[in-house]
Amino acid sequence: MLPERARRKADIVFSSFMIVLGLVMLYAASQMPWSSARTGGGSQWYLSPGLYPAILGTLLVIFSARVLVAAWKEVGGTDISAMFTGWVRGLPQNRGVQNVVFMMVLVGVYIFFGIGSADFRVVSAIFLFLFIAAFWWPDSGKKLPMRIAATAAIAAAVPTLMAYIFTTHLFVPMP
Amino acid sequence: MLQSFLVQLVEIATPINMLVMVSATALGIIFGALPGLTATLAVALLSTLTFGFSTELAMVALIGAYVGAIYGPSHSSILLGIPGSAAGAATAIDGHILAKQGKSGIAIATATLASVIGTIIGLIAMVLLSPLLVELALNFTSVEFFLLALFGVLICGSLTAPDMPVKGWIAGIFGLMLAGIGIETIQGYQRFTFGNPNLAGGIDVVPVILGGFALPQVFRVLRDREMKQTIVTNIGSLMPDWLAIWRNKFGVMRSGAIGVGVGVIPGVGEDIAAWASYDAARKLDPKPESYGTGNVRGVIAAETANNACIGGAIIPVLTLGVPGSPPAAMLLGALNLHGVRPGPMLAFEFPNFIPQMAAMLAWASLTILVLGLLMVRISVQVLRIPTAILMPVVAFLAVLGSYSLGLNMFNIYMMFFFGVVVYLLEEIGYPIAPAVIGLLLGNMADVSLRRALLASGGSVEPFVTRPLAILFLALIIISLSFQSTFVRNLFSRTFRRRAKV
Repeated sequence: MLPERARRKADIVFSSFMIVLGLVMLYAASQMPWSSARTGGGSQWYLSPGLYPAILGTLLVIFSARVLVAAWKEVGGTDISAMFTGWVRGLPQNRGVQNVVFMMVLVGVYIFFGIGSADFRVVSAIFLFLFIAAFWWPDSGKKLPMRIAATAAIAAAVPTLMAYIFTTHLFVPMP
Repeated sequence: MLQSFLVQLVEIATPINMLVMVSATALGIIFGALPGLTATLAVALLSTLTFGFSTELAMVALIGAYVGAIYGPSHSSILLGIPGSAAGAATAIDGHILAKQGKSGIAIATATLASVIGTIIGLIAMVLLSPLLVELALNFTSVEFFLLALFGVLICGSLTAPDMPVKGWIAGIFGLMLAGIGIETIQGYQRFTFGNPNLAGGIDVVPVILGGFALPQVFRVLRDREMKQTIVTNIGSLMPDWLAIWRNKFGVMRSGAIGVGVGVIPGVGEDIAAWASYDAARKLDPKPESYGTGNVRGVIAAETANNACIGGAIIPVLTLGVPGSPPAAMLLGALNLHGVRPGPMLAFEFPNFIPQMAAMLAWASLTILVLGLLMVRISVQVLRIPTAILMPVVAFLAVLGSYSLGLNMFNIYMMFFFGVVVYLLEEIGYPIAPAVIGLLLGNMADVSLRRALLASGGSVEPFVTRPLAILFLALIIISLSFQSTFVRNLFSRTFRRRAKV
C-alpha cells in the first residue's frame, strides 16, 4: 500500500471518480424501463431492471463521499497536482513502479498481441523467457550462462507440458 | 448426518480419489508454502484443471488443495520467517524464532498436528451445524436472502479493509455492480453491456478471481524482490510437542471455535481467524510476554484456527450459497461450474453432499498429517526456487486458466483488466475479497430484492417485520454504525462510566 499521506491524496482523486461513476449508474438506471409492459403490470417500479443499479449507485455515492470527506479533512486538496508531478518526476528513480509498469506492458502485449499471432506454445515460451530473464538475470555475475540455459528450458517446458495436459487429458484446445 | 458422514468416509476412499487427494494436497502445500501464492489461487487454478472431472473427483481435488494451501504457509513461516500467504503470518511470529533456536522440526510437526486438529474441529462443526443452518435457511424468504447478501458484503468489507472500513464496502458495492452486468433474469433486460455480446451472459467469477488474486501478487512480489531471507535448513527432530498440545487442550478448543466462528462470517478468511486466535491466546496466557519469543503455543493457536476456519467457511457455502472466505468463494464458483447450486435445498437435492464434503475434509486432514511431515525437506528445496521464475509461470497459468473455462479470449482480457485494476485498488487500501463476494452474491441480491417487493406489492414492510429480517437488518446497522467515530465514542464513554460505577 502507498504511504498514508499519499494514500489520502489518491483517495481524493479516486473517490471523486467513484462518485461520478455512482452518478452515471444512477442516470443509466433512470433510463431503464421503470413501468414495463413486459411483465404485464402497469407501473411495477419494484420489478424494474433499474432498481438494483439505482440502489448500488446511491450507496456508491454515499460511501465514496464518506471517503472523500475523510481524506479532505486529513490532507486537503491543495497540493494534489504537485504530488502527481513530483511522482512523475521521480519515476526515473522509482525502480518498483518501473518494474510494475514493465510487467503490465509485457503481460498486456502477450495477451493482446501475442496470443493468436502464432502457435500458443511458441508465444508463451517467448513470454516466459522474457519475463524470467528480466527479473532473474540482472546481478547474475558468473551464473549468467547457467541462468540463460535454465530460463530457456523452463520457458520451453512449461507451455509444452501445460498444452499437452490441457489438450490431451482435459480436451481443452489452446487459444 | 453423523452416520451419513461415516458412510461417506468409507465410500469416497476409492484409489482414484485418494490419488487425486494426495496429489492435490501436495500441490496445495507447495502453493501455500511459496511466498506470493495463496490458497485462493491454488483452488482457482485447480478448478480450471478439474473442470472435466466428475463433481466428486473435482471436489476431492479442490478440498485437498484448499486444506494443503492453508496448512502450507506454516512451512515457509517457520523456515523462512515469511508466510507463504496471509493465513500463515501469525505462525511466523513464534515459529521462525523456534526455527532459529534449532527447533524447526518440532515447530513444523506441532504446527502440522495443530492444523490436523483444526481441520477436524472444522469438519465436526460442519457436520453438527449444517443441519441447523439448513433448517433455519428453509425459513428464509427473498427478504432474508437479500439482506443476507447485503450483510455478507458489508461485514466482509468491514473486516477485510486494511485502511478504512468504508473502502471495503465500496469494494463490495463494486462487486455487486459487476454482478449486475449482463441480461438480468426477471425481465431479460441488458444492463451495462454496451452492445458487447461477451458481456450479455454476465462476468464469470473465475477470470475475476484469477486476475484479482494472481496478477497483483505477481506484480507485488517482483516489485519488492530485493527482499531476501535466509532459510533455516537444519530441521532436526520431526516430533510434535505433544506435551504443549495436551497442556494447551482448552486453548486448542478455543482456537478451533474462533476459526469456525470467523469462517462462518461471509468473506472473512483464514488469516483473520489465525490472528484473532493468536491474539486471544496471547491475552489469556499467564505469560503473554513469552509470545513473540518462540512460544510454541502461538504456533498452535494460529495453525489450529486457520485450518478450523476451512470447515467454518464451507458451512455457509453449502447451506446458504454464501462463501465464508475467498478460497471458499472459489469453491462456490467451482460448484456452480459443475452444476451444483449450493443453498438450503442442497441437502434435499443431494442428501449426501454435505457429509461427503466433511469426509473429504477428514481425508485431507489425514493427508496433511502424513505429507506435511514427509514434505518438510522438500519444502526447504522448493523455497529456494527464485520468485523470478515462479511468478511468470503463475501469470502464464492465470492466462491459460482464464481461457480454459469458456474457451474464450474475452475471459483473458477480463482477467488482465481485473488484475491491473485490483493491483491499483489494493495500493490505495481497497480489499479484493468483498468485491469477489459481491460478484458472487450480486445476482442473489438483485433477484431476491425484486421478488420480495413483488410478493409484498412494493411494500418494504416485510423487511422490518419478519423476525429473521430484523436480525439481519440489526446486524447490518450495527456493522455500519460501529465504523462511525460518533457511535464508537458514545459506546466507549458509556462503558467507561459503567466501569467507574
